[in-house]
Amino acid sequence: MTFGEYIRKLRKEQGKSLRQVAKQVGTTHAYIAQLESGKFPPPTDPVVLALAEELGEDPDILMVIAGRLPDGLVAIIQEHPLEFKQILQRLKGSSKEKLDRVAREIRDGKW
Amino acid sequence: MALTLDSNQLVFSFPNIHEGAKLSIEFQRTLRIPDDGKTYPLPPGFGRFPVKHTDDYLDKLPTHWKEHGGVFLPIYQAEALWISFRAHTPTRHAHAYPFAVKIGTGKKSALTGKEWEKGLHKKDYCVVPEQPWLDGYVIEEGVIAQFVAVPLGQGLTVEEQLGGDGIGGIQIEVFPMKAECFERRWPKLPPPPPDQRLGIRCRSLGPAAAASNYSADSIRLCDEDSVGEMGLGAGGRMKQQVFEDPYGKDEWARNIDSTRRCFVHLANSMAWENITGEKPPETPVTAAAYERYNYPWYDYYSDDLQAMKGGKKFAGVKTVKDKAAEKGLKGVLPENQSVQPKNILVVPAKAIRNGSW
Repeated sequence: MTFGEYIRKLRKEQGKSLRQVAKQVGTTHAYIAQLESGKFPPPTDPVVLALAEELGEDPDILMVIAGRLPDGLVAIIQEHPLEFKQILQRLKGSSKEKLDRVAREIRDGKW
Repeated sequence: MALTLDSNQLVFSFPNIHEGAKLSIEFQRTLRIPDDGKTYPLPPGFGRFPVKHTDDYLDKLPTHWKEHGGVFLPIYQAEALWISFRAHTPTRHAHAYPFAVKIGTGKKSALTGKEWEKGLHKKDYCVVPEQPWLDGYVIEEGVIAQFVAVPLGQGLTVEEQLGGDGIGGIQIEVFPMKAECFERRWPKLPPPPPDQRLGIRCRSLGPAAAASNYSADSIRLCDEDSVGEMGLGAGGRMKQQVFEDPYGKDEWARNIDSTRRCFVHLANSMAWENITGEKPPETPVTAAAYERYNYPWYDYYSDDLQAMKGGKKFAGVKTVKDKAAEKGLKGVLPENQSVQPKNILVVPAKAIRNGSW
């Protein structure tokens, strides 16, 4: 799914108009429409973050869909770049179920 | 290191220690052997208990379960279980990656009866893959008392008899072998051809062999608004060696970044449905019905490994049957008729130590 398609899906799910979103983000409805149709590339970081806030999406997720790595994730990867590269290569093509399993650690509490 | 849940198995991974350091632990449903003073062979497994993350049901579980974290599984009163350990074999190695595993019930060691303590202590852990299964409390050399579920608060659990607070559940802590020790003992080799690998006779028959057999009124129901917390008591005697560490304590990675632990809560099966919305497994077959079908029992032994002598603390622990009688509790251990197992399959430990899982 492209960035524009993802934005459109979120906007429709929330029943918001192009004008409503554009007003909150500080741009025009024509720009949002072009963005959704893929005629413009993903916007700058501040606009992506504003869209995330307006559409109730995790900003890190929207940044990744825009093709960028959020600073927080970059810092994590920089600690062990080789290992993260290997992990991602190993998980390439995995099913959602498998990724869910990898992502879900059993929490250890106090006992 | 990571601990995840995969197809109702706990999967402990230690990529920080060795890329192949991975251990799966599962809880097998089984029949309860009679608590009649006789010593029985190993019963079969009827498949894994379903297991869930406590974090997925925090609004329906007691506060202390939230604090403990971990997972939970459903178990009927008087139902038995055994714990299965499976160490994975790293690529291009001819031996499964070894682990030291501590098992506690209600924060008392199932091997020594002593209070649960951080770290590894003398004879309070078993070693996998040498130890493939644990069915109960190590009460004598080569003899265990089967794990049997009983409600907390009635004084029937082993932990309560040993002065515990009634915390319930099963506690697990896993320590992988140090990578340098593993590589020194079993250096990388070309993989053996598949036809030279020895298989292990599987002890689990799967759920098909576990036809429901307890009468409905023999299963005590818990209060509907309770999770029906269960603990483990000492059931019938069973022949099972629990082996001492053949490698030595210094072989295990023991710093805080190298170990992983898990609290496994036991919920009454009827409460399980209220919590998860899913039906619990059928009640398991009785020993008498199982024997009528001439299904197999198992005898697993090793002449080479030293078996533990049994925890002295267990000397004063009574079985569920005896403790219930002492307290005047009726119906705690239904369908306890003696049986005479005939079809016993012998599984030498060497088949596992040399083999592949």
